Amino acid sequence: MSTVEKNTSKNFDFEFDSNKSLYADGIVRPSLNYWQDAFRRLKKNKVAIGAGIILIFIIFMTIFGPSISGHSFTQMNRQMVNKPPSAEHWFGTDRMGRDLFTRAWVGGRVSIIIGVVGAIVNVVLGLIYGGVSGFFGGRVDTIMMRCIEILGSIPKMILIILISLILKPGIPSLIVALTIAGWIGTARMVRGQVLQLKEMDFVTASRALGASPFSIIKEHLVPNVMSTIIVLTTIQVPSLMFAEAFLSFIGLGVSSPNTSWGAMCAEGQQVILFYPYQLIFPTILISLTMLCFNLLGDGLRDALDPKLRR
Amino acid sequence: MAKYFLKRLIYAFFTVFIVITITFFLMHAIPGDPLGELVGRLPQSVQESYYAKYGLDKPVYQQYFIYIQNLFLRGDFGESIVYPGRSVNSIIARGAPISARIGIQGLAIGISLGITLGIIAAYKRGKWMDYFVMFVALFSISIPSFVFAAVLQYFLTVRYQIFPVTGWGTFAHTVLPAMAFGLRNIGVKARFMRSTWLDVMGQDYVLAAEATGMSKFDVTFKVILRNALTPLVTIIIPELAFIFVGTFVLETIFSIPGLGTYFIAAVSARDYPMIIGQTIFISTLYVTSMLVLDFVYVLIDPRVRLIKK
Repeated sequence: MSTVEKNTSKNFDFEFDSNKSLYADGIVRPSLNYWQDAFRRLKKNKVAIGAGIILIFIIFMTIFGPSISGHSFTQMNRQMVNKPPSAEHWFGTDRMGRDLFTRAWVGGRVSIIIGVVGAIVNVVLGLIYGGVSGFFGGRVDTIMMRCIEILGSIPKMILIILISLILKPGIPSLIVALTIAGWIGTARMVRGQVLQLKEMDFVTASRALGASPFSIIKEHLVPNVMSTIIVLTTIQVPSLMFAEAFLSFIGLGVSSPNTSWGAMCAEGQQVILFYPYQLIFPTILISLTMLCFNLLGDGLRDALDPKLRR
Repeated sequence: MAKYFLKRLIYAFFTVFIVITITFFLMHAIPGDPLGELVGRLPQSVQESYYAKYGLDKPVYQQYFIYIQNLFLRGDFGESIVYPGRSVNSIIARGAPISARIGIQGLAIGISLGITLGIIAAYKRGKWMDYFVMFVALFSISIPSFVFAAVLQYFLTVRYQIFPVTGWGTFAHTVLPAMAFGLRNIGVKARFMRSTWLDVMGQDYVLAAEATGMSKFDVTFKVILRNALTPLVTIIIPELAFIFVGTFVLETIFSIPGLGTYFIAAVSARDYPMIIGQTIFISTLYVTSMLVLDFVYVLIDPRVRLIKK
């Protein structure tokens, strides 16, 4: 625009009163691509941004929190068993005299890693499976969907329990167990979208021009399902964290001395009658984190797909 | 039409059969021996007779055929290892009604409150009431049910002794677990109902109904409500099977002798027959409920009838 301005001012001997009025028809704002536009909409959503900031703070604390308390999360102290919050132990101590502040953030690390890594694995698996099924269609689609239907008719929690019984205890096998049952929903959703997209005119045009299936997937399908993928990943994090907490609660989750928010809730619940503070902190942390991921997911959905907004 | 349902029925049966097979072999792939601790110190001959009693002395594939035979010919899930002398069938028959009661009471709370809140939010769309309801809904989805159960337990049994802490027997025992189970449902149903309601409100047939001069009351209850409840059926029916899973942790917290308590006990003791039996029971319920859903859907929504023919 600046070059246009210069040229026009050269052609006249006088100056315009206001440059703006001359360019009223011009494009004043820089053109934004889809992602910039989505980001602009997201920035306007104060709730989602607030949730994002809280999440960043929580993640920051899970990284640095354990080192600022001055206690190790495995260090036991016979003299300080089941002590309420104090200047020395900010969240109190548990039945083995371990500092709960440190343990809360170490546990948060485990919960968040399981939630985020699990969600990413889920979405990648679902994307590949659903994408292939939807794109190739026909008999491939029928068979692949039949498999999903069978896997889906074993209740998710039972499948997770069965698989975590087979694998050795530990965080990687927890993630495997949680994702084996979790990708089904994503796969169904991606398939639905791909089925819709591949009937679109731009895909037909691209095919008519001789594009290979691979390049159609890369150029048209992936960018178009990207927004769904991002939203799904965010929204899956809390449900994975919940599933992990569920497993820890029935004693199949992370094993001692390592911990997670779910395991801490389970321990706190057992002593709820005498030491309620042991339950309060992990409860608040896990609920707050899940709420923030949900709020952020909602905000992202509104920002990425304005059509869905009501 | 009949052909379509017959096809669905065969598929459902096939699905259940595969689920049984998968569960059976998954269970037998678990390291460790369910009888290990029980018979460890007994003499060799007694050990062998124990293994023979549960059929564990035979190769896995033979056990599988015996299991299938017992299941299909006599509906027999076998005998529990943790509770010797009790059949899995009798344990399911005992635990299932208890879990179902909590689940159904919880669902009733969730559905009634959820629908009401969702409709209010839809009518007050964009106003503070809408934001408030949607925030409450999101909040209820974000709190794990066992966390809410623990909070309820603390305030309503420890601080103020309104309800009994744990146990089973009277109606008062069912209130807290049902509330904890229902909470999440309130959020899910309210969000679902709000978007469906807005969807239906924007349809042309609602406009047409208004144009005929129907009162607002009639439009709301005769036109919108009927159409908005149809999609709700699709999400409620599959949930009926999952109430047995949703109550697992709650049963542990409130020491309720339901299916979940038995399942968790079975899991920690590697009680094969119990775990397989319960998994099959719940999966069969789920597959059946999906089948029922298909029938119901055709009954209530004439548009589906045209497509599925």
